[in-house]
Amino acid sequence: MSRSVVARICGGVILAVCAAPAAAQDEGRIGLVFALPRAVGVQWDMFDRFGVRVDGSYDRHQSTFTIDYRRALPPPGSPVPPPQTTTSTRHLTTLSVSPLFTIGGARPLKIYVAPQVGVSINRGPARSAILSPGAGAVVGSITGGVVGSGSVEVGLGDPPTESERPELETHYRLETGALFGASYRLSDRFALFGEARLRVAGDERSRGATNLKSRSVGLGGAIGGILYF
Amino acid sequence: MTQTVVRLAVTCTLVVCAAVPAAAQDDPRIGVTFAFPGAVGVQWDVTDAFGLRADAAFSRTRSESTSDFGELLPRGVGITPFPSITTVTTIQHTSIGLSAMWAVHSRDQLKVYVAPRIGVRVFRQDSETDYDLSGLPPAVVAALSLPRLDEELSFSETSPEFGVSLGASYRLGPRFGVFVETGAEYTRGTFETAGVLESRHSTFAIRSGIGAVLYF
Repeated sequence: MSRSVVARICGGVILAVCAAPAAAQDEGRIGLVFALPRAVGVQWDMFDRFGVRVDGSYDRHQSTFTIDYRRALPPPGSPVPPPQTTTSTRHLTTLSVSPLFTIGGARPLKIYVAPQVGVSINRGPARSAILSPGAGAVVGSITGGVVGSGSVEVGLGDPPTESERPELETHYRLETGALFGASYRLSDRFALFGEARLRVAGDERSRGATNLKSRSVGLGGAIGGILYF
Repeated sequence: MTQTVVRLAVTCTLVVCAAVPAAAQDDPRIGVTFAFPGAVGVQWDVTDAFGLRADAAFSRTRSESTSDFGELLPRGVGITPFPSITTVTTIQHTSIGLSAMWAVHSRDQLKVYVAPRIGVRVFRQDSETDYDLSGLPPAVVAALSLPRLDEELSFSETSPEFGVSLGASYRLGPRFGVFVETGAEYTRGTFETAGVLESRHSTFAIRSGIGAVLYF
């Protein structure tokens, strides 16, 4: 079964690669891809019936959490620590490659299918970090008071005694999928496309004594444009 | 409420039936739609002035988390098998909808239309926790005060959607078209937790979309 699939894929690739190149045309064959939902990439129409698209996305999410103990109305005479700020930054990068096989349509329309293989890279703190120097030292004295330990849960119950640098972790997740779509070349340098995307992703990771496995499948639509050079 | 819906459906049906069929054309009238926000669907241009579009989106994620306490025990501690907790969570989103499109203006390949839409969005989360504590002495198990052995929890939310959009479509060729839409959408949801908790919410929002149609 597996060999048969591999043989078919190899056959398809060889057919595509050996296909006669398109007649010399002024049309660009390499273009910049803009797609919704969020992705940019490059597409190379190597042959009339075969092309490759590489696309990706990047998200940076930063959240800042500040505890101002002065607003907690501490008991008179008790020391009031300076405001405590917690911040975390997470970077999510995705990258995918799709060999596009044209299965129908007549110029300027192209109907294609494509397997898709990609990876998502999630880099961020394993836990939040306390950035205010020295602030953590007094947290312990106030956690039993008005503020309560729940307000400083970012410290995971261990009041830090000094400024901490966040411990970063990087997590990789393999994503596969398939596309069915159509592109329409409006001019020599611009085309529009619409696609149905089936996405399958799975990963497995361990942290301490916990092992986490996840599998997801999704079906959705996408639309975009290609600017050819 | 029900009577109103029936009247509306009957009226729509009459309008569709009474509509003048399109002049005979080679252009195909049924196509697959790809749209953002994420949905795929089928569009049927019943007449030049009226069309129907069904759309759907789906996602399902299954996560399995296993905590094996054996890894936390000092070497040499003889508990066999090691106690563990396994939680399996499945989250599923499903959305389906149906839009009716009435053309209010047509010129060449451009069509401006009004499209009421009804739909439903279903969210479901199932969680099952399995405690395997067979390696622990009964006194220790009792001291752990776990909520309940082999616990199952389910959450579900069903949200009907009602909306109306103003859209424009342009048929670039006999088999390919693009469209943009903007309008308002009203959503009403009921959230249930294992038959214990029920909460309701409603949302009114402006929505926009863009898509393409591949005709067959």
